[in-house]
Amino acid sequence: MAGRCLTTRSTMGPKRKEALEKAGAIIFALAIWQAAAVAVNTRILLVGPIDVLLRLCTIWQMENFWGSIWFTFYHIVSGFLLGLAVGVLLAALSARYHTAETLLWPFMITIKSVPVASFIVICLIWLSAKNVSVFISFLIVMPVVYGNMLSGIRAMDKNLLEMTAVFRMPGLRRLKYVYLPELKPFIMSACSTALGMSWKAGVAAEIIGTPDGSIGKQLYYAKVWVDTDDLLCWTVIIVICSVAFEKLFMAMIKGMYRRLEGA
Amino acid sequence: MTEIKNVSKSFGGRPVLENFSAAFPVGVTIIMGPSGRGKTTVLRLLMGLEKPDSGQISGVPEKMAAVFQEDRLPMDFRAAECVMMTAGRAVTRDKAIEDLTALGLGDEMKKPVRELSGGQRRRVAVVRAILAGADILFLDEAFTGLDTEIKKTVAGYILGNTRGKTVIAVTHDPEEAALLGGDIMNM
Repeated sequence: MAGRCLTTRSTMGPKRKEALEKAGAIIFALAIWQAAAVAVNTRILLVGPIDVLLRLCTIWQMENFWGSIWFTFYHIVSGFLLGLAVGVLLAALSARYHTAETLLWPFMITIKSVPVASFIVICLIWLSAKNVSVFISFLIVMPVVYGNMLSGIRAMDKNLLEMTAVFRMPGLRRLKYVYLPELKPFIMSACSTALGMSWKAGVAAEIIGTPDGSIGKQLYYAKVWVDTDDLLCWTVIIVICSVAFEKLFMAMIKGMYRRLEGA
Repeated sequence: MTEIKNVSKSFGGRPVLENFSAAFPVGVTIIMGPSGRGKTTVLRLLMGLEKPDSGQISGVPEKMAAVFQEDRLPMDFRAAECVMMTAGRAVTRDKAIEDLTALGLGDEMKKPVRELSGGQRRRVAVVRAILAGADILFLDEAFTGLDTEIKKTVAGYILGNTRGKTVIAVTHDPEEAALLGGDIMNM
């Protein structure tokens, strides 16, 4: 019997072991949360994971549940994609023209250092509340992508660039065979970092702007009514949406690279 | 004819070429000499990767190809893709595979280049340069990392596919120079 147990342990792959360890850590964290909720014993202050789970089972029945999710998803993802595109373009411009980099520098520093809440309030004066999450998501994503891509372009293999010049490779072939593969780790890193940030900042913008039919407004109502069940339930939904989109988007990028490399 | 006239070039104040002149007619020219004499600098000047401090370079065809000292291949791609990245319009993927197979890479078509040995990558770089359909070919220590038999095959492949074109090869090895034949220019 002891021998069988030993065999099972030794054949467990490192991935399976890591997954089990993580599952254990999650169960431990949930147990602490539940214990804290029981100890506090005041639903307004803290509800446990079991209550949140129970609320999750019914919350989808509320009016405009899916509409709220779609509204927030659509706006934050639009801002993310816009930030990604503009960040890449500006990085390419800065890498090509030093003047562009110098002129963009104060904007990038300002965007990075000014608190998100200040931007949200300023944007609420300029824009309708409906569009603030798009702009804030864009504003958070763009400098991250810009910085990563600029570093990536600067770190590109000079030998490969010389090769493309000697062979007079056309632009699209350069993009396919040199630029995209060389920038792969920087693109992946930028997207991975920016995706999480866009959701955090976008939802914060919605909570302050409270546009109709958004998750941010639902969170705002939960705060006003001191409905901790709903507050935590919507938070869980945001995390699920954020993680699901991150996994989907990163899988799409990896898939694009697999196709590019002809694997 | 490709010509260099009275070209001088220095790096960081250290002169590498001083009033250097040379002519490269159609056919093979081999630049030989010990390290540090500026052989690679001559190639880089001809390829347009360096600007001369003074002097003139003329007659370099627009369509160029090169086998560099380093392989300079995109490591995530397979051998055939590496060839197709610079191949002329008339070159098909089948032709790329055919030439790679002729140089002994037939069993390596499914691997990304990073998984190939140094000698195998070198041969991919050679096929890439040949199938680029260039009018002038630069070979900078192109036989590095190849064993004697493979060197003969690769030299035959290069010579067989560059008739009527200008080939300028840099080497410090007389045996490699003999494999390519052509005019010898000592530096």
